[in-house]
Amino acid sequence: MRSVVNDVPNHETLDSRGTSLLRASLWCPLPHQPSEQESLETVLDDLAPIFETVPAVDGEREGALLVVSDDAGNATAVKFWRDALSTGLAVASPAAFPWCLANAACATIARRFGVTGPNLTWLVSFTDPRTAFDAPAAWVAGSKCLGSGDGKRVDAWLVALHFGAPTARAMLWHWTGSGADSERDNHLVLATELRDRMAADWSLADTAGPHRALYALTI
Amino acid sequence: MLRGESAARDWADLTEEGHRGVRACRIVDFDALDTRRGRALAIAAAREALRQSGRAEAVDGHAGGIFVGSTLGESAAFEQAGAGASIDLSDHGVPSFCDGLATELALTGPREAVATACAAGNYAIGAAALALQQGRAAWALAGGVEPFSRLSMVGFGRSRAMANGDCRPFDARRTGMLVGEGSAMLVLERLDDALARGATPLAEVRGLGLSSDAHHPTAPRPDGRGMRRAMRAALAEAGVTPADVDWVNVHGTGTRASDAAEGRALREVFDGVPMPLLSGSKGALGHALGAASAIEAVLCVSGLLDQVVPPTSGHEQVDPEIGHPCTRERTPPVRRPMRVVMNNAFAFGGINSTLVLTRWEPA
Repeated sequence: MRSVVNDVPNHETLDSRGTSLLRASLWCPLPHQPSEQESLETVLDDLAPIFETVPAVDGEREGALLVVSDDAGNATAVKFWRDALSTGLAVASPAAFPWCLANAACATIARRFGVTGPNLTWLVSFTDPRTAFDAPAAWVAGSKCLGSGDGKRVDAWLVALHFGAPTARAMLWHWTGSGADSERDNHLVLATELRDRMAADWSLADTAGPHRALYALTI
Repeated sequence: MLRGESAARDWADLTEEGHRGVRACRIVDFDALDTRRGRALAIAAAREALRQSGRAEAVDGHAGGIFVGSTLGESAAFEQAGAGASIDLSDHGVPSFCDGLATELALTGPREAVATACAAGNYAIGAAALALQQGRAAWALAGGVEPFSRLSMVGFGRSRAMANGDCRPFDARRTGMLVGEGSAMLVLERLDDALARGATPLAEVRGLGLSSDAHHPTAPRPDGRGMRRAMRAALAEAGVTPADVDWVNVHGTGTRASDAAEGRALREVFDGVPMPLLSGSKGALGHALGAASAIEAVLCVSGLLDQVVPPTSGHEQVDPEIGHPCTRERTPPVRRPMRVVMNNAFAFGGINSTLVLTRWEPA
């Protein structure tokens, strides 16, 4: 088994008022490949169960996809330019060029699972995981991911990616909330709890080694 | 810009290096180490913004957050690494712009390095606005930066996205984009804070709409559905209707597919109401990629302040497929009362953003 999915019963919530829920997480090691594209594409099927809990309508899922990475695009950019110098700039192959951009991973995941809401990529340092997860947690907790405040269910998928060996891995969390949450005054509490949970998961994966299950996300 | 002229020209050094496309908009007379050009551009822009705002001299002058959008970071560093140089790439990515600004300006607030390709400036401004709303930052520097990128010249050129000649946004004869470079930074703060320290706001950030096409790695949805969704989301967040919009700064790269999709999206968003004035900057300034929408946000703010919409360099013939003209090149700027402007920015990966700004009007 290459990946682990932890689904969480609905009674476990991040928010004491009971409408925000971190439903599931997944952790899978990324195999070493020459490019980020090849590496990510080998695990896309493993990510599917987390996305497919939300039914697609006409192939689309209304939700936010928020990605943090410390090195997305780096390897491809270097290889693209090395190859271009080798072949000649005027005849270089453009195939890998989109993957020089850090948001290619986010776009690929969105395309694979039909996620049509906000699509963001932050470049971060995982040296302090809490800082690394600050921004996506704040977006989830803030109005940007919470719709119009009309109580409609909203989803956000949060992804962390590190492509460099030897600790290459993808982590994925699925958060569900209600648009009504945007009216709340406790978004900072929610953001802090969500950030700390993701940071703890990331740090645990640092020490637990590959193939070991993360604990269930009970908060 | 106001004369409708273009900064594009052919560059001899690019010819000598073997590039197929050699036309671009580059900043001259700006000296910086190649591998720190982006950082230097960002610092220069930030210093101008801080000087204009007077924010650095305020009591909490050092508590500002930093929100920067870009695509590649210091492209020259990646190019040199590709050529075999030993370079610490972790110190030359998009976060290195934030780090450089924080060090140079002694800012201690939160930092976000937003890597959303050619729409990154809009995203960075939205991220800063959210941080202010949530109380995570006392005030913020927000914008985008992109140093000139040979890597992007090759990538876009070989992807057949580059113009054969000039960049002509929304024009019937458009053939593609031209690469630019630059940086734009804005000082954002909560309205009450700005007024309390005696500042006069330049404009209000009212809404950011985001969407994903989930369609193709580089091409937009031809029906413009994702772009339309972003525009409508921005209007909803801003609390304005299509009829309220006076001006749209179009993304307008000058590529066949992107401009056609944006034109369709605009027609649907403004169906039943008069089409606002449309203008685009990429014929004049090139496409500064991750910095472009921040630069264009500054153009929007300037336009609102002066109540003027610039001509669109390169736009002469309306494309029947788009159906609506931009302001024409080499014509006088359009002067009329304006309150609401939309700043569109779309990008590789099918990401769409629209920022709504309004003129500052004291109560």
